[in-house]
Amino acid sequence: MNSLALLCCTLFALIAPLDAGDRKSISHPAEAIDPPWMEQRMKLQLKTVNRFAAFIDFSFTDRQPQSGITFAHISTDDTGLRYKPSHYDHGNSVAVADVDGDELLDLYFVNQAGDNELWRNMGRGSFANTTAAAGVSVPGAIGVAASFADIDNDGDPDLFVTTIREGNHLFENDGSGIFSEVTVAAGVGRSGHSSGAVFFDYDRDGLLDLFVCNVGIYTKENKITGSTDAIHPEKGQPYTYWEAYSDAFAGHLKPERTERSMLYHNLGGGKFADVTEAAGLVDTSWSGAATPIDANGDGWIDLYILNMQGHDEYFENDGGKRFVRKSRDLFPKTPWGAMGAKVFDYDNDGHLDLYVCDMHSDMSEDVGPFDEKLKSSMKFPPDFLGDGGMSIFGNAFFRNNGNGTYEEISDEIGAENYWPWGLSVGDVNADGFEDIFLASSMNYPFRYGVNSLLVNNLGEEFLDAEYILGIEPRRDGATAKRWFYVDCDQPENAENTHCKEMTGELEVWATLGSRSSAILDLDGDGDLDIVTNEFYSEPMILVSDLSDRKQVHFLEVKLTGKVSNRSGIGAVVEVIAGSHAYKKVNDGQSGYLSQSDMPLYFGLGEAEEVERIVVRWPSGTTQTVSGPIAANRRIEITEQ
Amino acid sequence: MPKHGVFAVIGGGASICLALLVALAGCGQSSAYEIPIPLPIEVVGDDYYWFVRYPGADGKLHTADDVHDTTNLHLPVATETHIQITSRDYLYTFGLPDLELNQVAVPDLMFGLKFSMDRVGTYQLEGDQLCGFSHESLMGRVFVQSRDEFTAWLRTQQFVPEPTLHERGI
Repeated sequence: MNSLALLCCTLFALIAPLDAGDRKSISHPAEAIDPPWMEQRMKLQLKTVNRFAAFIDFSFTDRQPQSGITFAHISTDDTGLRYKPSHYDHGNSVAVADVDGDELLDLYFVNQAGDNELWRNMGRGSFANTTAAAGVSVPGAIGVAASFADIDNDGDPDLFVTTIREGNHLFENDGSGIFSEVTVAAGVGRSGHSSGAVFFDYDRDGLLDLFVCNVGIYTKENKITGSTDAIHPEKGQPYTYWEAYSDAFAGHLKPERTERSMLYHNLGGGKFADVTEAAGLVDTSWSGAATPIDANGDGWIDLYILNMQGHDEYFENDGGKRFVRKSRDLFPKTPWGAMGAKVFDYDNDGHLDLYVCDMHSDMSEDVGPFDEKLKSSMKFPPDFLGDGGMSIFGNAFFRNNGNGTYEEISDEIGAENYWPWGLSVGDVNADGFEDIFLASSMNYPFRYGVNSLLVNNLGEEFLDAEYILGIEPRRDGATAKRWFYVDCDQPENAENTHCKEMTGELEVWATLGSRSSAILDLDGDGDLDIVTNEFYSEPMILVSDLSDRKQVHFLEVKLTGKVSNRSGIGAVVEVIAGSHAYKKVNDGQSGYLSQSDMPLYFGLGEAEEVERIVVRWPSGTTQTVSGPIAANRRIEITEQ
Repeated sequence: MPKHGVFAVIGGGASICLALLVALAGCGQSSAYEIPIPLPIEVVGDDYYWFVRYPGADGKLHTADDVHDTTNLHLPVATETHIQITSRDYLYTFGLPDLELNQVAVPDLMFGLKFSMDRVGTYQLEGDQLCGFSHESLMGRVFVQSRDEFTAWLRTQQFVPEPTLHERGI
């Protein structure tokens, strides 16, 4: 047996018996279906339970089948049958909002080859598909991101959706969950390689402005037709997508592939104006996401722009008139392959920190399943990095020192993980300290990678708990699924990697993996659940049993701005309970490629009531709501 | 005595013998081969293979007497070497782990590696296409030879044309 054949035998495993007629099933890699390290990894984590001071005697269960949600993400053929490494593998958003005003949080899933879907929350963890009536399916486009925000201050969440070269879309909500497309009138329909979109009020005029990240030109000028059913192509619907460049991930080295991100000023009356240059917010990094952050504490919202192939950028807001690039002044070193970010106070010291997760640095080498807490040793050469040596090769946790400076402490507090796309933050054990879910992993043709749940150990450190809390293994222990079908006897498939060693009809299995997530109380039981949007699979609806395991104390805070934007985006809320102060920013940042419109959830630990709530509104005013305020309820605070 | 030294001596007056020896050596050059300093080498990633181009007697790349090889790299010891790396299709990484050197191969762009191997021996050449698959064809070896051995090897490679895409089945 020559070395190539030996190699292939180690990469592909034949699954016997034949499972579908004359088709042979193979698994790629061989261990995709039953990773031999999973059990050991679980045992090792279970041995750490004594390190937890935080409450962990509860678990999540994937109730996707019981939820009624039948949405299934469908990825393009460039991530399967016609595989090539490209930005199509970044996947799609799940965004959350109460679209119909019934005080239940609804879910919107973005898709690539299939339509987007809106699922109405019917209560008690049950959902119904209202996509057709809502008018937000965005057919015929490869979608990317979704952002809910009240753009017209009428009290309901509107929706912005980005696509790959099929134009972006803005939908206005009539308050009942029925949307009308207003893209053309609003002037925000630019077509490009768009990604995450962020609504924030940079000039504090009470209207939410919009920043749209454009990654860069990673597709060619020709389209490919695929089938929405990659296993039985004849049964699926045809769709088209722009073929990716074979060297898509070298795009940052090619200035001609630059595609700058865009800042739109909300003019009111449903119209936006491109003020990117006028505001000095010209950014050409390969950006898939950004987060608002008042890094200098002056009340004017600054912007941290993530670069997935280079140094991140930080633009300081100069009085709402312009932005000034101060990237390296405040953040000298940043993650080289940044994907997701969230601003939150991890240790309840009253200062909002910044957590940035890094996916692309983890692609420079194969990392074993027991080395995932280490930073990447970075095998990409300096000419490829192009960062001047100013990168962190992994996640960064920038602790806000409270004096206008930040300190990177990710390894000190256990915030590293592997293959992270984006993060959602929420107090899943309601102890008053924010926990983190990192939607992680790759898919075909890589090994299985776990999602990470980092439990905040009372503000001291983060401890891995995805096995302890039932996130891993997945439902029924699944780690792989049928990925695509290929007929190796057909000449057009001769160059397919699998057909070089095999003949006949193949079904190729590959690993499962998540991309986006949101943390919310989807069943109204007072504890926080987790929803994902998977890559080429159905979502996970991870329902927590925390409220069944202990008496939960929490407070939900919903803001209504008057001078400020209606949903209070940009407000900083501080809840004081049991002599503890818990601070959060209402920025809607809920997971990779997503912005959501949700009330803020404060876990209160053992406190049964809140002493007071202090809101610093985007308008600049500070408002105090005095208590006592009973726990376990939603309080609405209207700007005075 | 180095082979090119033999040529230099014989070439003074016996053209028939020279022609015979040239033919036996598989060479076609009418002059001695001097290793240029620095030695320029071009490495091109293409369809999961490395294609390597060495300068001929004129010491320059992209001329008619270039020497072509695939997969492996031959280097003269203690010789400053400048490798230029690019790709015709995908994004590759090219690594010399024993020297802790690596570089990226990108279509339409040329990146360099400058180094000198100070010990004769056989070393690893690692290649990757950054795609999740392992490509055995991108894994090769680096043969660091004495300058004479390198020159001799180079002569045996004369007249090996760079394979066309059609010949490689692309």
